[in-house]
Amino acid sequence: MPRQPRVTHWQYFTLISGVLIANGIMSMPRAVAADAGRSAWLVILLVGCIVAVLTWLAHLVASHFPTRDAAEWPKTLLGPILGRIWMMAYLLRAIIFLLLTAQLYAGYLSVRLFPRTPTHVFALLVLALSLLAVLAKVRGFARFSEVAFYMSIPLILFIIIPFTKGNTLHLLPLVGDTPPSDLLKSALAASYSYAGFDFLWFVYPHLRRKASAGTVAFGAVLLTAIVYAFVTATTIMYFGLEKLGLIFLPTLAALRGIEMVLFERIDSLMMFAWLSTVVVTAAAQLYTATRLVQGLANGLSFPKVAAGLSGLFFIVAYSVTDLPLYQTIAISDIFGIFDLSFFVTSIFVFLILALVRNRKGDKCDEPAD
Amino acid sequence: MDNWWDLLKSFFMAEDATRSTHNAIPSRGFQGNLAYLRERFSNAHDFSVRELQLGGDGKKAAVIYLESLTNPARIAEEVLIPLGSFIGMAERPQAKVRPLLAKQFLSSSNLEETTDLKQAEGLLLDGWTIILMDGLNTILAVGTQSNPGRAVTASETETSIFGPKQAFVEAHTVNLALLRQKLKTPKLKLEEFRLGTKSPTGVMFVYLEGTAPDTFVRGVRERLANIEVEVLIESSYLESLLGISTLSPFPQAIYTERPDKVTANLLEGRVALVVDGSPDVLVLPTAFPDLFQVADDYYQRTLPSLLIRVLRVIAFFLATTLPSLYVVLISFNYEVLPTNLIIPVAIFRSGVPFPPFIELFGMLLIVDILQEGATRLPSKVGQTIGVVGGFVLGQAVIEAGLISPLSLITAALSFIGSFAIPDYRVVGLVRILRYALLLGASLLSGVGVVAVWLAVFIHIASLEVLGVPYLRPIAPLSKKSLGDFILHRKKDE
Repeated sequence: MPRQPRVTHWQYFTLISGVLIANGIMSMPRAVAADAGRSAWLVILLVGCIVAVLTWLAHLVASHFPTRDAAEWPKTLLGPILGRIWMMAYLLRAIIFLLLTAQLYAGYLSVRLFPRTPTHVFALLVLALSLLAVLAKVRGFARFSEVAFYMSIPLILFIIIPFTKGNTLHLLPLVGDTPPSDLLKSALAASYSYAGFDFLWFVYPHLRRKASAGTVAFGAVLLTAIVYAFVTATTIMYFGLEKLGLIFLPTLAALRGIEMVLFERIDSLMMFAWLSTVVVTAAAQLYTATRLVQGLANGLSFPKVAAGLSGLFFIVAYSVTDLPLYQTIAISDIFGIFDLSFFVTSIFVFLILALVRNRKGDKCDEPAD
Repeated sequence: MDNWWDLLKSFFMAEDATRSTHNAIPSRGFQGNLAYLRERFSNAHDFSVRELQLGGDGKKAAVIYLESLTNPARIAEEVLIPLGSFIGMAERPQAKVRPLLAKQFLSSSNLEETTDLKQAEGLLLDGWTIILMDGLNTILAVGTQSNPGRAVTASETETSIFGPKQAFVEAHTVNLALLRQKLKTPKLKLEEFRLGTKSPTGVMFVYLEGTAPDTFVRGVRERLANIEVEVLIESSYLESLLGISTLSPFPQAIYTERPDKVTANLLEGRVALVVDGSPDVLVLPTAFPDLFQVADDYYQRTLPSLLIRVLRVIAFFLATTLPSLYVVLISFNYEVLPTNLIIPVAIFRSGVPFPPFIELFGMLLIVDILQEGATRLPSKVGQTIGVVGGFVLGQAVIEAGLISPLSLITAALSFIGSFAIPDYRVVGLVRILRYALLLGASLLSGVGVVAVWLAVFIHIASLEVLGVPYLRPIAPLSKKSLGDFILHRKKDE
């Protein structure tokens, strides 16, 4: 048979940016602008650049293990016990992230369009589609992420219209007069929007070409940062800072102003289309969780574990169906800070350990245990 | 507790798969071979054995054939007359008799030698005449097939305005000749496989050496060699036998009866499987975008061809999604529509007792029943059903106020859209998608529609036809292939 097609650089790019973009594109401008004011877009860009560098460092860790993913190599680097503890923490983080992604989208839908439909119905939908995407294996999932990326392009292109209608004076002065402590607070508020770049640890072994994959991952995060900054600048320009603080989902609200011959409310259509990127993010976390369970207990079947986890997540989503949206958002903000700290620490520790092993002459890419 | 854990563990554990092979039957000498074939073809009225005395020492020969599949004139000319002149020479040693008979006396260009009775049996069933000779272990076979098949005519299912009109027929020798006429190169390879343990059928594996990827050719060859089936009735059976899932509603192979289309595909590096007895040639691998192409596209100028393919994609979208969009916009998210459009819509819908979902579901169901009914009826009766169903029934339900004219327009546009897709196999897919999207729209509005489409995209993203991605060249993106696909650049450009 022909050589099994593996993940291409372009798919790697769409996967990483796809995993990130669902979290922040709709709500981030309000969250960041609340503290950073008119400099919000600059803060977002700056945080994006820092996360891009982190992504590149995470790639360096992965490059020590060309054939194994993060469900295998932590045991080699940290030892069997510490490795398992770290993987359990990572698993917990993936579970929370998946639930937050599904709950937030479900919450936004309930609030904006379907107030009478329980949120767990939409959460179930996200989970079911994520399970399907995960069962398509990495190659299938990567192809789907490519399609989802193309589907999200209209959303970004439509934002150009409010951008042209906005008032540039709302952005001036560029740096603004926000105190550094508020800038730091807003930078932390932006961290949730950049959660998920670590998925590269699971895709890297499936890459067709490993060379320059770090640049691709870096570029994907940078593109996301530019899109976030553009969206934030647009919403500030369109609404002004005072009004922006009162709007729940500013990106959608900006799209609401677009009128076309056939459609008057593009925002409703975009809310539906957003589902594609949400599924990519949720599926990436479901894949991460499934692989980690497999890494913790050897010999388990991937489809059955993925299906089992999805069922479990749905039960949790069902039990928190009454959780108000603002509380979910607050949890996501805290989660974002935890997530960033967890990965900053992990990346640096792993990088040092991998370098020490290399210096000692131990090959990193050997089966664990 | 251990048992519970074991049970849970066994449920989550991965599973394995197994395989098997088949054997030849060695030649058993003159009497043994004759007895074997008589026993295999007992109660077969068309099974004929003519025993001949080849010399004074009692040496015999037997000429065996199936009357229903052979041409008597060819048997007389290519077998019986040469054997008659061979009388007297059969007493020579076996080592000399076989080459003498095969090379000097039997003048047919179709001559096979085998020591496998299973192969001899297969040749007999293909219309060959078998020659058994006393003292000779080798079985000789001469091609004496009659060709009762129909003549080459224009294609009825894949009509075209431009280009050649010839279509394949049931006889695969004729089909191979049609391909050879188009591709006059020794690089055109034709490998024969015989599939079917109960009734072997010839399958010709066709590819262009150096153009089709070696790994793919090797893979298909291996799969063909490992196929185990009792009878291969039609080329469509091959799809599942090659390991392509038939559970998916998406067609994963091109079936065509046009030699020019097969030729174009061979030139693009694909392979073809020509099954004896089937006018449909299977072309592999197939990608989703291929379903929107027809042979005519190759004969037109780039821009008109591109425009037509874009129209087909729009038609596919209309056919599948328009009814569900109608339900979304009329039942749930009417705020999306401009105000000056909502008022006429509301006027048209006033007094209609059913929600849009019921209206459309009912109408699409009726139209599908009418279509299925008309397909199975003679053409003139079928036209009557079309007129009664389309005009009389449609007019009557609108006048009765059961449905709104807008719903009827939506259903009609969706239905017409499905006919703009060139491959009839896609129409079945369109029906499934249409109902699934309609259901998604009625349950969860636009989210349901997007969810169904996402499920479809995930499904087709996961599909691989013998290792080749089904969404190629869109995902994985191949700029060159996508450019060729969009602009339909010919090979020499």
